[in-house]
Amino acid sequence: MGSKLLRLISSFSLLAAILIGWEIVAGTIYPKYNATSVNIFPPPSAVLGIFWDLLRSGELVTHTLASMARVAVGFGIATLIAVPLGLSMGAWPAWGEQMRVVIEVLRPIPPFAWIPFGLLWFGVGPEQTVFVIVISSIFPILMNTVAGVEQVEPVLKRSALSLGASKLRLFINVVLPRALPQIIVGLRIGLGFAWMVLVASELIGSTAGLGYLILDSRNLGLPSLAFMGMFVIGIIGYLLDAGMRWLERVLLPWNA
Amino acid sequence: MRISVSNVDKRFSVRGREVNALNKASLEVRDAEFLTLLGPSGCGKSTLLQIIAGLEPATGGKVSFEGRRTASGPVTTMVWQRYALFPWRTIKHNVAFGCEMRGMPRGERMARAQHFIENVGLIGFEEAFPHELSGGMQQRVALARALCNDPEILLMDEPLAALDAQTRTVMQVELLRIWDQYKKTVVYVTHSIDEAVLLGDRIAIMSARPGRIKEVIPVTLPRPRTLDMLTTPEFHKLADHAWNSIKEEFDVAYGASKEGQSQ
Ligand SMILES: Nc1ncnc2c1ncn2[C@@H]1O[C@H](COP(=O)(O)OP(=O)(O)OP(=O)(O)O)[C@@H](O)[C@H]1O
Ligand SMILES: [Mg+2]
Repeated sequence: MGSKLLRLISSFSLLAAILIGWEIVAGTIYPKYNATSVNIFPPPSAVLGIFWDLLRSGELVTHTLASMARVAVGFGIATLIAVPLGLSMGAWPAWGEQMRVVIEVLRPIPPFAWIPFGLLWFGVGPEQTVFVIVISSIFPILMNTVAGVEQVEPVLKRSALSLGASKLRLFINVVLPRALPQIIVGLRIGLGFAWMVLVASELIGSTAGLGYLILDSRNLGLPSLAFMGMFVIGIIGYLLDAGMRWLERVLLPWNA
Repeated sequence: MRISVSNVDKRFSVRGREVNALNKASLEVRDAEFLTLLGPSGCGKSTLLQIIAGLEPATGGKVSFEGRRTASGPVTTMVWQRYALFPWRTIKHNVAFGCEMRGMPRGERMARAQHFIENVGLIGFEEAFPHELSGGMQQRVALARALCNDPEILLMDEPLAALDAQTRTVMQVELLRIWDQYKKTVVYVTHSIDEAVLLGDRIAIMSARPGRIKEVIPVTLPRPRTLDMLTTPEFHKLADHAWNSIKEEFDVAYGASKEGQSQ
């Protein structure tokens, strides 16, 4: 118990050292040379201060929830499109072949390039953010689903057929579970992408969300607010990834 | 059930290149017979088995099954060298797979699976995943899974080839014991002449590619078979006979001189 706690604490020691170093540089050394330093390079204490203010006012929760809702909807839509599409591409190779050409052309386009169209079609607001999130996360989910279906060993399929499985049963009871680890990898990457483009899209066309908060910091001349927004984004992104990895372990106990 | 394989041809074309795997292969397998199939590597043994299993279409000829159905499962079920267990299913759900596919109620199929898990000596591993088992144990699971499916005919493609020598011997004894219990029609591909003699009622020898059945040797040893028989003169006579027949085909396969063949 004690050693476990010790290990947990020690795994954060580098992070703590960085924060302390930053506090010393930005909080005590830099202000000696520049009286307005806090408006250029704020120390962690200033970031924490503004974090506390916004938490108490409820603003932080509102913006975080706005962002998370967009990611949830966008990622959800992407999953609902990409997983069935990927499965169908794997199940019918001729169709997969045709789709692949289309996808390979669309895939290298950075999701950010879709932002102007998002603004044009949906205007400023959550819809365009959701749109860009869908575009960004759909490809990794799709490609990994296809790869998952393709990697099903022929001997497993033959084995199932030889044991009397129908084509449908083969798909449900062999192809799907065998492809699941790869699909989950795709979901994890897709969620990471979604979270990343969220901020970019909110920076450009939004009136709420963590990205909007960062943009607002510039208007307000409050860089500590920008730092705070960045930290919250980083921490939530980390938690989302950790959650996906936990899900992977729970859903796939055999995939050690 | 009997299997009648008549004049089966199989041609593969891979990127414009044609491979004749089987050429007029004909074979009769009797009801409740354990037939072992020997032949040089690449002569088409696996191909023939897959054609009998209906997993691969023949280019020509015919496979038919004759006789009264006595089992509840499909006509054939295959067992592979590499076990081909479903890694995401626990042992008991692997064993119950065939029954599940046929829509057998859960309680019934789990009880059935349990019976076969016990029969192959894997009590206590019901909830384990395949990767947690040794190769020999995995092959026991594959065997239990095939038996639980209750096919008329078991088609086994080098099921023990991936095991070490000791485990293989143990599994041969297990196979003999289990086959005595269920008396299914078995076609059993192996590279081991001793195994072919020890297990088989008859040994079918295939020619070099394109494969056909060259010779069928009746195994005159009594049943039940035991490992002691491995040292009897009769066993040696049969093994020598099989070896000489196969050696000719090795010589063809590896392009050896004609002189060596005529003895
Ligand atoms: N799916 C396939 N596509 C193309 N050629 C194949 C295919 N399967 C088998 N062959 C060819 O058919 C021939 C017979 O193969 P098969 O696997 O039946 O031999 P085998 O007797 O089982 O050999 P081994 O003893 O090494 O297992 C080989 O030349 C092989 O290359
Ligand atoms: Mg083979």
